[in-house]
Amino acid sequence: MALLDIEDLRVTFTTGDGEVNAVNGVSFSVEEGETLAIVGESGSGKSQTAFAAMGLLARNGRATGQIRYDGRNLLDLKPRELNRVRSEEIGMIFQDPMTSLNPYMRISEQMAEVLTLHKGLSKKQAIDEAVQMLDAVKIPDARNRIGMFPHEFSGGMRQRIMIAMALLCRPRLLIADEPTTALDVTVQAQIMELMAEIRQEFGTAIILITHDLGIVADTCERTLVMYGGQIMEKGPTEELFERPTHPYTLGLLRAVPRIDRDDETLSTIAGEPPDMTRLPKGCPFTPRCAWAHGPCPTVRPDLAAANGYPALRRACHAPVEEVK
Amino acid sequence: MTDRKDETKPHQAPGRDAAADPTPGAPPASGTPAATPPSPEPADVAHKDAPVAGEAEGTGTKQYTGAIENPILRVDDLRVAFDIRPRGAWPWTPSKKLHAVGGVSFDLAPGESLGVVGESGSGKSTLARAIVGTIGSTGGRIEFEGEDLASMSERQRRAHRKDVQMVFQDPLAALNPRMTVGDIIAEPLITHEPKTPRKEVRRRVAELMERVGLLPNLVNRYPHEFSGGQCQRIGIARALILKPKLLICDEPVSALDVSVQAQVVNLLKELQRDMGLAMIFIAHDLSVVKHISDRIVVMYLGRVMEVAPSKMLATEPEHPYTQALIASVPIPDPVLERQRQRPVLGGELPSPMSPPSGCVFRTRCPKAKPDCAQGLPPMLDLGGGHRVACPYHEEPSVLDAARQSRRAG
Repeated sequence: MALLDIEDLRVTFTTGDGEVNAVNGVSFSVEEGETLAIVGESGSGKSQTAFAAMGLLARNGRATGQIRYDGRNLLDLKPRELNRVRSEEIGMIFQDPMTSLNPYMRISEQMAEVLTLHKGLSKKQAIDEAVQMLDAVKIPDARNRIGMFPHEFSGGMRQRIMIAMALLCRPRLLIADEPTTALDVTVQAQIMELMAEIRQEFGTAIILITHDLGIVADTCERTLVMYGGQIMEKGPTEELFERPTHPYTLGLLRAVPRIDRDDETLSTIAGEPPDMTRLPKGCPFTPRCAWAHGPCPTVRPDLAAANGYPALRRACHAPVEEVK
Repeated sequence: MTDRKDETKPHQAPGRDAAADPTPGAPPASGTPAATPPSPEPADVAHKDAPVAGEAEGTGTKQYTGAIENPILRVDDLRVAFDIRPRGAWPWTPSKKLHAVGGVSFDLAPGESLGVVGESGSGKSTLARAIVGTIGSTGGRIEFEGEDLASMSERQRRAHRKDVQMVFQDPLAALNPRMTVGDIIAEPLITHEPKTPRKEVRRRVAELMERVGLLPNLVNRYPHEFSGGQCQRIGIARALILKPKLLICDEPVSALDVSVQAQVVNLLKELQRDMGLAMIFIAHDLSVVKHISDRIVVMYLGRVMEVAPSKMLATEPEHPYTQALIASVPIPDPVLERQRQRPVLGGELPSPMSPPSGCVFRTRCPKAKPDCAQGLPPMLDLGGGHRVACPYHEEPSVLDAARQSRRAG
């Protein structure tokens, strides 16, 4: 059985401008110890999918569908039970470490709090364990620095602290929402390497949410491409990158400037990201798609296997052979 | 006609010597004659420039002549320092100096596009602001078309502002939310050429909107009605309406999504070519910068580490920092990416308040030697417009292995 199994997840926000459908019927699963990437541009619903799973939606948001973790539907849990799952089973890392750490609390207190609350350790034991975890994420001189406040650390160090905190209760699943977007490339490389090590060491399954196709290529086994709140394509990372079968994936991969290539002009995806309050009834990518035809604007394509690509699933009306 | 910048003038003459000679205590290892500090024509060392500007090659050997004849912009040992008051300091304790830019020199040919890369805190944005003139320099010279920026009169300065325009990072924040798009784009024109007839203004705005890929009938809309990419197009149109000679783009695409980023990069490249604009393109993303620039300057902690034509820099980086930077840029190709050995650069940018002595990169450098702490590394000229501030660049390092495996793949 999959560790996390999401089925037909829908997230809707009620706003002054009407209903915003951030996530429209997303289904996927994560196996024990696996790394899955959710890739998409801003507004694609990738973060809201994770927030819904963690019960962290904004107040005007509503999630329907099934999010089964270990057999239980997280959407049905009472806040108390959900808190247990969130702390002990699923850890989360956010984009900006400064806004997720409490600026008024020393690192030692913030980290010990988690352990005393959920594992019933004494303060001293808790701090010992916190120090161990900080060592594991390679914070130099952790024993002496644990008493410092978040602002006394650099961005990369804060992100390490966030990772250490998320791992304190040895979760089986770690959700990382754009963990390196706010960091410099050299520090990003350090953090990604750390995540890979953690996976090896703790066997944690990781969902990496990002817009950066580069870091996905290196770290994730499977990739899921989202657009307009729907999954466009999913499959093993290597296959997906090698031979994307969906026009959006193809366009996205071609639009990334690459350090190892000399392209004169970058190929682009025409048009603008979709307006989530007025999504087309059919495929959300229709207005920007070069292969759009008859059924595209009105009939939503199913996520189905394509001829000759057994491991991939794509949601597109255009025949696979034509998309290249 | 008072010159606000007068006080900075005395720096210039003496600053010049100290500047062009970036090697007060250069390690003896620098065998290249070009790198010998007391060169009679230090400017030649500091300004060997790319063949991109090659047409002008080889004429005139006046003191300030580098490879580029009549550069549109010459930045010479530019220094910018900020006064920082330490936290909890007494009112009478003197403030400390933060050297954001410490001795940067380069030439820019008309129509050339120069990329500036570096991580946050490398001083790249400060450099841009100093060139635009929104912050004063504390040393060195900035010459725009041969005119020293610091000694310009108010009138000249106004003209300078017209010729140098800027595109900012956050497109929405850079636009006044209470003005219509038409007014935003027209504003610089109305400010600098108030006598332009309304009809002419309207015509030019419409023309430019079309040029940057906006429908001219959107002229009465407000910024919030546009997406990020469109807002950046508005920002670009506003920067271009005065027909500037130099466009400075400070992280113009970092806030945009990949698919839109490619559109804006292509647009900028096209505009630059068609309008013959000189451009300085600042970004932390080396792959974007490489794509748009003829030549790239790599900065670290306020100093230039390496300058080279962009292809050369991407394929044959010489400075250990550039090598690490390139190795850290992920490539969206799983097969290639897994083959790459990626020696991760340890540590983080040191505090600019107390930069390391000697070479500022030595604290994170895989090749660092005791010498490196001694004095500023010399800027070595490797020919073909390639300059590197590392005397040990020829020694193999761990990073070379990674490069080889990548070239093979």
